[in-house]
Amino acid sequence: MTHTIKFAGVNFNRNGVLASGILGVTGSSMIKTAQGGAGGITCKSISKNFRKGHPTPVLQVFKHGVINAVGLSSTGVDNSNNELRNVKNNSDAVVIASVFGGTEIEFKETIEELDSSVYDIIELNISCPNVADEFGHAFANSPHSASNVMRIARSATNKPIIVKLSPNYPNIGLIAKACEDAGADGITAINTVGPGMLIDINTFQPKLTNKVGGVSGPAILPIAIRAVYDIYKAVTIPIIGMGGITEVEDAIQMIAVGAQLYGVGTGILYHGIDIFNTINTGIDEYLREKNLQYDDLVGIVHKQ
Amino acid sequence: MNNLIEKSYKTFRVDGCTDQKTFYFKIGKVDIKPGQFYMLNYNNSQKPFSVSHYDGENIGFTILKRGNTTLHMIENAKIGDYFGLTGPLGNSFHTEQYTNFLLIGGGVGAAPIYFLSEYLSKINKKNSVLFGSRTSSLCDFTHNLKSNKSATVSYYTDDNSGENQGFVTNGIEEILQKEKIDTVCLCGPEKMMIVASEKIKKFTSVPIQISMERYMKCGIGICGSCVLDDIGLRVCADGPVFDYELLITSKEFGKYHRNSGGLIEKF
Ligand SMILES: Cc1cc2nc3c(=O)[nH]c(=O)nc-3n(C[C@H](O)[C@H](O)[C@H](O)COP(=O)(O)OP(=O)(O)OC[C@H]3O[C@@H](n4cnc5c(N)ncnc54)[C@H](O)[C@@H]3O)c2cc1C
Ligand SMILES: Cc1cc2nc3c(=O)[nH]c(=O)nc-3n(C[C@H](O)[C@H](O)[C@H](O)COP(=O)(O)O)c2cc1C
Ligand code: FES
Repeated sequence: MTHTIKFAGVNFNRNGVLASGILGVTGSSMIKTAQGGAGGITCKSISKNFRKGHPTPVLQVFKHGVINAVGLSSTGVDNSNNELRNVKNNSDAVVIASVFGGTEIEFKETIEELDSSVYDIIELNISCPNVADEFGHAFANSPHSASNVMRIARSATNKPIIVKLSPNYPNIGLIAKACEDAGADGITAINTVGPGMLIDINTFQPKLTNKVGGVSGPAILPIAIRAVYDIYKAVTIPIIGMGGITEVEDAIQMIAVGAQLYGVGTGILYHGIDIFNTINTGIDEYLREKNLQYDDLVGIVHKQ
Repeated sequence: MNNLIEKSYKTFRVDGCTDQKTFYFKIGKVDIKPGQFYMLNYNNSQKPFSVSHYDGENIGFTILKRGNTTLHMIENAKIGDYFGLTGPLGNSFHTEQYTNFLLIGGGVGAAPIYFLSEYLSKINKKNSVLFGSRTSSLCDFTHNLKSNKSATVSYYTDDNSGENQGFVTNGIEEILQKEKIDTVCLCGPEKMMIVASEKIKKFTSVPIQISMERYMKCGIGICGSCVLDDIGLRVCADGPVFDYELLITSKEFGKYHRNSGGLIEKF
């Protein structure tokens, strides 16, 4: 992309975003991914305190994607400040700090403890369980709990806040709308689908220690495209569309249903970090061929 | 992509001692190169292990007791048990352009060096091998290398239970003076590899290939737990074998690694 894209008031030099949880633990891999063509870099979701995550195996590949139960492991805010500062100082990419918590207050405290000079945008990962919910549902489960997190987070920073939605609950459009009403500056969609399970056919044991894990990669592309389509219809704030993108055609579909930026996580498994450069070049060629501007493509499906 | 999908195999042979065992599996014909590794999953405990033996049909992994996973495997796994295998993963030692190799394996770093020597001898490439370990029983699994006429093998042990006492690095000088070595391949504790490389540099400027170890969660290049500061390379997918000249540009080489939680631990 030669022109910049304004998303939630922030200028992106390139239109691909690294999804949270992929190569997002240390500053050095995030910088490297920006060099591979990502215009935005989302770090692995940060919690206030150190969290260990699940025991390995935490990730298994199948023919059409990946299931993972890395779990919400985090080095805690202090370490994350250092890693993000490194990215901020050594790349031109927009830095998106993904945060999560077990309560609304924990979200707020995590954001407050992050050094606001090390990130450009806060992403709320609300796919984590709400500890106060009697069924252990995620905040992303209902418009009410999603908007509560958003409202409380709003008081913690002046920087733009975007909310990352889960495809695993009905009415993703309604939830997006509730977040917009609570002050969200944008939406990221989708998080992993499921959970899913894979079984070893010799031992009859689940292949993950955690038994179940979120599904990502090519298998979930159609779900992600539909989710972004629904969200675009429900809100006016911009969307980062992700889920199953591995090829330029996938990213174009995502933009066409309304994503202003596209995101890639698992796609790196198939094409390495250069996937961003490949897709960006492909989008430019496509636009030239169709004689379209980038902005014309965003949400074009809804204008037919 | 098939190498990324875990498949389980029965272990049909187990060798070794109470501290270190080699597990063998019949995997058939797979394109495996020395230096590559597998993620091994035994009863929901998973870690990366280098291929220490492959003959075109059977694969072997040599596992040293260190912490939870390896303890579990060594104390509980027996013939007939299934292990989930994901691999082969990572890159490999460069062998094509070289003719006379110096191989150095320290500790359980002997595992990939064993397979490398086996591989080189099969294609009649000359290789001088130095193994170093705490005590000689940990090197027993490599003894049959001596029957290969392309290989010259020497052992160094800390407790003087092997041929030579002292550090494996003691043997370097003699080989470099005697042989026209055109590359060196190293695997072992990072401090040893640095001492060895600095010693080698004094004699010759041949390429030094180093196999690295970092904590790995996924082994396939997406989780980010094995990335080297500041060069941003993934040990699992861009390595584990790196050129020494590249590694010395990484600020953590020989100094620190990260634990399972991503926190820095000094060596
Ligand atoms: C590419 C690769 C190939 C490997 N090949 C082999 C092999 O062939 N045979 C073999 O036995 N092991 C091999 N390992 C190491 C193995 O994967 C385990 O990490 C190791 O055996 C410890 O596992 P554990 O669960 O038993 O110990 P843990 O409980 O994880 O740790 C035991 C102790 O070791 C320390 N430790 C863990 N990782 C490191 C590290 N990277 N550097 C320094 N200290 C560390 C921990 O801090 C702890 O004190 C390889 C690792 C990699 C990355
Ligand atoms: C290994 C792994 C770890 C992930 N960790 C996080 C995380 O910490 N926070 C988050 O919001 N999403 C996380 N995700 C979800 C991704 O950010 C993304 O939403 C999802 O994988 C769909 O995109 P993809 O198909 O391009 O991977 C993770 C995904 C994977 C595969
Ligand atoms: S272990 Fe996950 S990136 Fe290397």
